[in-house]
Amino acid sequence: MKAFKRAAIAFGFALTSTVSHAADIEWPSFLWNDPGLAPALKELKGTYEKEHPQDHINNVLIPVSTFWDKQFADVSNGNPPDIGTFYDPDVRSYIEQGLLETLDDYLGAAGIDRSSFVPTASLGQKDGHIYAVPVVVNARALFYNEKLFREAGLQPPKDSATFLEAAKKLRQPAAQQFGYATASKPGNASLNYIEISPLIVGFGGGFFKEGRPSANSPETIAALKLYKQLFDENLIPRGVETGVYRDMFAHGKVGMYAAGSFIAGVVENADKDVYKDLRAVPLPFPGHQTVSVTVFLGIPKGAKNKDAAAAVLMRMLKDDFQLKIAQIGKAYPGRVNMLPATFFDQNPWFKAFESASLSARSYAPEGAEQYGPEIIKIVSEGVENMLFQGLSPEETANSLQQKLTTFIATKH
Amino acid sequence: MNSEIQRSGTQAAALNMEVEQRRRWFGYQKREALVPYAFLLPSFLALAVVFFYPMIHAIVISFYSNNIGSAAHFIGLQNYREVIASDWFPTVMRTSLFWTVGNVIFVCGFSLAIALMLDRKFPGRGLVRALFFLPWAVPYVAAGIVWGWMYDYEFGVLNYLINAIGLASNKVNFLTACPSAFYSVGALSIWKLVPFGTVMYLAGLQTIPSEYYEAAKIDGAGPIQAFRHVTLPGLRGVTVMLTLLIAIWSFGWSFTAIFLLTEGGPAGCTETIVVRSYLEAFKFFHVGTASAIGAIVLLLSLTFSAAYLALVYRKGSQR
Repeated sequence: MKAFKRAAIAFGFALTSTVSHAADIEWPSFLWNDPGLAPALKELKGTYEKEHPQDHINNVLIPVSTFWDKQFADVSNGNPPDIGTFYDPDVRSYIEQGLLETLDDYLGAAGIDRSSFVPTASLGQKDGHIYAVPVVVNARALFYNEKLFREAGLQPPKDSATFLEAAKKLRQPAAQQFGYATASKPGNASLNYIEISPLIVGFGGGFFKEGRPSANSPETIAALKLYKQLFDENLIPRGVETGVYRDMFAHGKVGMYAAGSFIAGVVENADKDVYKDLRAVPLPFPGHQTVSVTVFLGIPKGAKNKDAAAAVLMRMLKDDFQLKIAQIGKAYPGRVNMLPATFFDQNPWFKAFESASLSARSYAPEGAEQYGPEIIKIVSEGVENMLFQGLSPEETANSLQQKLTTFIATKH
Repeated sequence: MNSEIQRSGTQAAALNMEVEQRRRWFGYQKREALVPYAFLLPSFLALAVVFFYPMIHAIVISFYSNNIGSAAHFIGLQNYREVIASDWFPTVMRTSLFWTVGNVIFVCGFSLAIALMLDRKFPGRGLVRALFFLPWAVPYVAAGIVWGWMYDYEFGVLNYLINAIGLASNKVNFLTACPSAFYSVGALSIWKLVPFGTVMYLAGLQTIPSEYYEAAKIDGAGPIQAFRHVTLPGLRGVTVMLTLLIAIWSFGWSFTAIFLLTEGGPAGCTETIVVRSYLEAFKFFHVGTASAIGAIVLLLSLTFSAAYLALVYRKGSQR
């Protein structure tokens, strides 16, 4: 029966290349103006529409500030888009709630080996079924501005001590220059959590491990101590939006920034001179681990053009387009071993991201991904108490451990 | 015989005419009576689609589990029990209460002071009045972005001015500490609402007959006594109305300013019940819980509204 279904889908795919089915594929997303990924996705749209002249991809740009609310409202009200966009914890929530279609048969028909995906792709899978596929993995490495380092007589940081030394030396209040930048504005829990994750995971810490709270592990406390020191000594810009300090980094006002490779595209667009001085090294913290944010695409249940949407996703996953995503989007694509050696020769800084992408842990709370948004809210409040209310890192860690333990007990 | 027939024919014709006239008259009356409803119908339909239906639907959802779509099942009052028993409920209710009371006190106070000032005759009064009403016309989102930059710790103009004047040696954490974030966000809300209060008080001041002030002056009352014994009693109705309206708006709509500036932070310092409802729905995907919170907000707002309507009705019946 399964083989028959797969054959039917394969036949359907074959038909799409010869016979028109005139689908108007709804793909609203914030990715359509993502500085790194948008050009690659627009190329995908062009390629797909050329290969399927009767189909049209309706690439509606939704600002990221409202995107998640709108997508959730559309899906929960039975008016879903044909292609949905998700981050790690969100994709898990959608899958757990049974809101996404399985892509198994489409992947089988397109001949895409499920073992070829990056490790974090497992978040888009449940009980052996694939519900969402990764577009890019934004593993975190430490970007730095070589010019600022040279002027300050600094070497790229190799450990926490040299990292802190660089953060202090690069701080120049008169020039409004900072050594490092990370979340320091209250409110946006999800984004703040993503931003501080490289520090926490870099130390080998984490707020959840194997489904259990681990907020007061020595590694997590050590990471929180460094974070608090950076904040208290004003070595990071305080109370500034993420977009603003990213711009500051792109204009040479911040010396170091732990981010995904997408930031290279942001810097290149903002300031070509700073881009020339852009370098990246693995996170210089004692845990020798890193964290990633994976962008997933999936087909919500009730999508009107399911087959055509799947055809777009399968086109994206083809080898040639995986390379294009890396070339145009400056990001590691969803499938491994897709980048030739020449690509690394042309983009030497990308090497740090290849190893990071293949070993990175997802930023979603490990083993409790489906409760990600609630856990992230609890953690963010705890961290805000530490930064803005004067709680010590130890008090913060213990309080978080208690709250997370209570929370997870209600879910079991 | 013929004349009898003729007479009865004439009578029948007269009767028919009367019936026809009466029918036309009643038809006309009916049509007349329906006209207001016909005018109201488009507004009612629009309200039904964008207001009543979502409201009723949300109340229905509040009795269902947090699953989405067909997986949701009826759970009675469980969402309400969980909301009321949660550890965050007393905190967000307290924050909402402080937010509402603070807004009411400061909006009424500032509005009255500004209205008293603008009620006097002075050159350029029209221009000054227009300037004071300007915040009401500024879109909330634009105002939120501007105020956010003004409050910015690193680059904000307020910290720059405080430093330049020498008011404080350290920068002020306008949005990054508690309770200063609460006051900072509250200031934006008050700034937006004061023009409305000012208009109401100005209108109220113009209804107080000048003879009252003249009589008070003859009786030896000074400006403060005149304010206390003539102005304040004269504005009592406006004050009660304004208090109720600001309370309804502040409690039920305590979202925009907060969401734009702090999203409920730092560490829940500015998280009102409405912000919590948003977080439950769109961040945690708990649609049932969010709807239950919405229903609680509705119930509490209806209490204020009932008081407001009772007041309006009482005022109307006194005229």
